[in-house]
Amino acid sequence: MDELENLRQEMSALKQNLDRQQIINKNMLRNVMKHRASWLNTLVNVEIIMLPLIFLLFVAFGAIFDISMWYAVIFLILAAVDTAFDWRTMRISPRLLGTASMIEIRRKLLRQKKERLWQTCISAPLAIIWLYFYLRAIMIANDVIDDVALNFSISVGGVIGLAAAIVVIIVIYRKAQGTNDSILSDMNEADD
Amino acid sequence: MENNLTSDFERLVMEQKSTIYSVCYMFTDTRTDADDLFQEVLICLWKGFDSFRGDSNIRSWVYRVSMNTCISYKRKKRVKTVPLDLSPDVLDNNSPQGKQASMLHARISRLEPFDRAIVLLWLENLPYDEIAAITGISAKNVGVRLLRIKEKLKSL
Repeated sequence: MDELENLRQEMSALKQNLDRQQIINKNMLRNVMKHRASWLNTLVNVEIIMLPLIFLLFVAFGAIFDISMWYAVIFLILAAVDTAFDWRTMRISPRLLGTASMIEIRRKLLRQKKERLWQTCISAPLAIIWLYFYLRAIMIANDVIDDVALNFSISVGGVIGLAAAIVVIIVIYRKAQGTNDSILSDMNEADD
Repeated sequence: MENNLTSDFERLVMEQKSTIYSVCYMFTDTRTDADDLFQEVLICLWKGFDSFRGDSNIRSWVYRVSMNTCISYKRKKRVKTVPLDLSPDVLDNNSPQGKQASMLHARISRLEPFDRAIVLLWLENLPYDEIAAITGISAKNVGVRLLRIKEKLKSL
């Protein structure tokens, strides 16, 4: 018998058996419907929520350390642009899942990979430059450039914060790129 | 309005549950993963349901979302799904149906994921042009691939 026809009969039998099973009831379905957010959406949503809070924190620091509010404003602009790019490069919308073909999804994943690389290459150095000028402004405004102890503690704090931020950026970047790679390798068969 | 949406969605899932579950089962290695993927597909269907509503053939849309979710499952593997014991008894290896399902799974899962998607759509009696629209390759290519898949299945 034709292999595929054989499979079709077996699949049909499996579906008939599944039809007789409950698999899911209304309560389970309602639970599923409440569960709306994926981790990627959650990540971006957390960024959106944290953005004004961190901005206010920098505004407060600005007032405490007597530095220009422009540092906080520039942070807000950079972080908002980065979050907008995260929205674009980190998620596949449910609408796209329902309208795009598998090949289009593959193209989207490839495009996301490239964009994420550019995003990281641009945003990470900008974050470092911003942090450098921010810490420098604090030291100048508070006249602590010559205060070795305070200078040292601010520098150490800055380096630790920077290192932590870089680790987080690399972990998220590698995870996102890695998962895209693994899907793309699954779909490479579609090339020919 | 929200109630209509919910009840329409419930009806859709109840009608298509076997198809969706069997696709998830064929794209995963364990029944627990199949349960998780089944929930993930339902979440994606629910999130897209509002924007879908009649834009195209609903059956085709369900297949499209299911396949795209299954193929991009690894990407979202860490999604926390609601822990539910969905695994149908029919997949229990101790039953004759379970053994048959397991053999079917073993054969289909040896295919590459993209070929698996094509064969699953074909098994659902979708015409070549619809399979082509869902996968993104030409209808002619679908035919060629099915021939190759048939040869591959023979050699397994």
